[in-house]
Amino acid sequence: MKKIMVLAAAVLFAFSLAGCSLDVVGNDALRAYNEIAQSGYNTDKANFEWNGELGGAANFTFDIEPFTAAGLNDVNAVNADINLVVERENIGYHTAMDHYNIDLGDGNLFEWAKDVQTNGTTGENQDKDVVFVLNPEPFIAAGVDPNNVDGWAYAQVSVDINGTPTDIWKFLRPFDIR
Amino acid sequence: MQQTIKIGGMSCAACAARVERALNKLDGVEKASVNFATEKGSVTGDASFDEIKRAIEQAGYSVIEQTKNAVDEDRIRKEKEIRVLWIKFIVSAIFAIPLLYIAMVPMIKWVRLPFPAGLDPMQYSLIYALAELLLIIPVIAVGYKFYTVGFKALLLKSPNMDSLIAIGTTAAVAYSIYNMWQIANGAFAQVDHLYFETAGVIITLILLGKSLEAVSKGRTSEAIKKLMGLAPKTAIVLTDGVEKEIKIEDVKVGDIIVVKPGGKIPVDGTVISGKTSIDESMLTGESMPVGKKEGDSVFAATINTTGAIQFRADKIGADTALAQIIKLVEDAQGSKAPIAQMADIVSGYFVPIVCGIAVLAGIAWFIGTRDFEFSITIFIAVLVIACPCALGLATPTAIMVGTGKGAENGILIKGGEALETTHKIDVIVFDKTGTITEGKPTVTDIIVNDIDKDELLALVSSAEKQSEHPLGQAIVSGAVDKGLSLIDAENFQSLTGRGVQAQVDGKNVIVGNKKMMKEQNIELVDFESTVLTLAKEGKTPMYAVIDGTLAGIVAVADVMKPSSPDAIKKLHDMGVETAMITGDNLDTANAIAKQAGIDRVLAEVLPQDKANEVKKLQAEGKKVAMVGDGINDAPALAQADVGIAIGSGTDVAMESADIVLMKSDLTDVPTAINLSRATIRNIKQNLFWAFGYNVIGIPIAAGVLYLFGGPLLNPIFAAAAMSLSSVSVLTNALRLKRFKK
Repeated sequence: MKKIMVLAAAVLFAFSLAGCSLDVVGNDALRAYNEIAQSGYNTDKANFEWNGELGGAANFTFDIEPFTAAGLNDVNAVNADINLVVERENIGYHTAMDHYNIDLGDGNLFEWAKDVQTNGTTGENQDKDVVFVLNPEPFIAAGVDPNNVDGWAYAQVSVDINGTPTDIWKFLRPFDIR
Repeated sequence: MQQTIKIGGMSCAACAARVERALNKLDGVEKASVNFATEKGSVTGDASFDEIKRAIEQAGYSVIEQTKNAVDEDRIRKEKEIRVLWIKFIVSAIFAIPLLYIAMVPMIKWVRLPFPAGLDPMQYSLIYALAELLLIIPVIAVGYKFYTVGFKALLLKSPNMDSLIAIGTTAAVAYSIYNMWQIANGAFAQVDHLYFETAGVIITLILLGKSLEAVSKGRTSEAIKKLMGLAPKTAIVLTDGVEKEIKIEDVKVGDIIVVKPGGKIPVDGTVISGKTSIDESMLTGESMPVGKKEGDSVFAATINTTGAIQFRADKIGADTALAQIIKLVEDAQGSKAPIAQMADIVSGYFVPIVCGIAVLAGIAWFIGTRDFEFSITIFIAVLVIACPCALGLATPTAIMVGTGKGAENGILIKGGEALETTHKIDVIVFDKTGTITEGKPTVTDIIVNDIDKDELLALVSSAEKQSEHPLGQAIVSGAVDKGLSLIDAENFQSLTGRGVQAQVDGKNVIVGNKKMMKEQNIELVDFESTVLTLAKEGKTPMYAVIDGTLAGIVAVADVMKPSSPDAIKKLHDMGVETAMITGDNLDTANAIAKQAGIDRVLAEVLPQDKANEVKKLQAEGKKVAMVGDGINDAPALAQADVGIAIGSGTDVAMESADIVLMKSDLTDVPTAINLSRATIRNIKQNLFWAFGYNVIGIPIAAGVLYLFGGPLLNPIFAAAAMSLSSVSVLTNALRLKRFKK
């Protein structure tokens, strides 16, 4: 019994010694974001601004014009200017893409690569440094032909839904820094 | 010299096999046998207790030293063991259930079970992994014996069931800790490859299985505990006219003991005053109380029902009938049946083979899939599903329950071998006198030739006075009942299987059968038709010769036991042939056999030839049981495949027999065979299940079905199946408790 308790303590101690902050996802997400932010990731059709700190305000905007051109009949049906305060619970990890993400609400996400340096070397899914992700449903409902939106790919993305990896349709606007 | 040693620390049949091997290697040991179910080792040879103890300890197990209060200590130890196992299971479950919950809920989000946001594996991977680690630690702590015992056995190159559990769960935990390290270093996807819950649930389920197993194992020995519990703790001893209650251990042979109505007889003895009826059902299974008067024997643990008696203590402690029965049943329960040999051999090699299969399956899958996670899952599942316990428990538990059930019904089966052989019996040979008949013959006819009947009876009974033969005693009783006075005979000679010869009142008196008359050259012509008639009536005619002249015939008849025809019919219904063996002439024997419904008669057989008659039947390729009660039956009982002594018989007969019927009721013979058949059927079911379980379970765990598009066995389900396999074998064995006569 004693030996097992000692072993357990040793395991915990080893993790402490390793200097691991227990919130490894949160810490690394901030590091990766700041690294990407320094490189500059804004595109002319979509933009995400955040100071890279928890509690910091973030703003996500995108150009509505490609959607209008694709048939959007009511601009008020979609929100092209999303504001939020980024808290830890908004940040997640997307296993399939090896990306971090900030949940912008309503199925919209801002994703960035976990490691820009190695991104693109581990498979095509990770081959983007930054990805703007929009939920296509409100656009389609407002008349958008999803296959004709300039600059936005209409593609299936594997996401975890209720514990099951599921392919769902999204508008994606990827961006490579390098 | 035979020693019975209580062994501690055995967790499965492989352990028992290891201890057995260690003991058999010991100098001075002729034969050692270790029974996993009873946790006892039986060692025959000159090795000392200390040497045996050392060998057991070197093998990695302990010796539980028995004291005078071994029964109580054993009960307390067992109860404690069961209590500790339940506590361990509960503690383990308290941590394993939340562990399983946090492991499973993220995988089944569609069920929408509440889940702490701070443990979301995709957001807080390391915290999530750490929570699982913290929950597994107490589970491992309560299951630490699997590791200490399992790895120790592995180091001693004798892996057991604990080794399988230890290796399997250690692999799961070690791999999870490695993945945790990976998570800490940024490989968050490894959060999907934590197997802490697998290890936690395996340990919990095995502890549950062990708890149920301990409870069930306890129930298999209830019969012996019931017998042990019968012994009273005190006795009222009469000293200088004063009654004094003393501890049973302090009673000495020769003490005068007082037992009042409702009291228990504390030791074996002989009634010296008073009359009563005694309930002996706990020893004989006979429900009717037995009348006792001065000179009658009384037995420890029986209950005095009506009158107060005083008796002299003849046998105390380990010499009482109860202690002998307990010893006999204990030895039987600790014995092995030949049917168990295969299971014992398999158990000895089982664990190393399973380890090998697990490694090979893991490697094969890794080569085939290049998926380490998948391979390790297969490895763990194979280790965990394999269950040597079920194999080890299959035979001894059924024997324990079967022999215990027999003891409850007054049928003492001396060992597993006897139990197994009994179910194969083709022919049963019954001794006639005292077995098929009451064994208390009475004089029925006196036919004389120029002599007064009473005079003939007086002379013949005087000659028979020193005879111990039941027929001789019947003649003496007949004379006494008639009020005839007996004369002390001189030069008494008993000619076994023939009759007696003595000088009575200056006359040479010969009393015997046809064979004896022939040897004495006595002409029998005048009496031949009379003898034939008497014999056809089932009576035993004995010729009386006075001074070389045939003076008359004294016929004696032995009344058949009321239960005999019923017992024979039952045996016929079961497909068993019956035979009767007797020294009587063929006509008498045929008459008795006809009344009883016996198939085959072996008449005019001398006592020393009874064993040969049994041998002849065996030469016909038949499995033969012999039922008898007398000293002269002992060789035949020993020669038979199964010797059955009836309870009213002699100690020698009981010593030679494989089965002892406590009552003199022959219907216990078909009951014994039925019990044997039920037990062997139960053993076969257990072995079929235990072998079948492993033969099917191990390939499924190794992914054979998955290879062909079938399901893959999760190690958690493997652990559940493994625990259930032992419990199911025990539960099946316990069904024998419902056996009815």
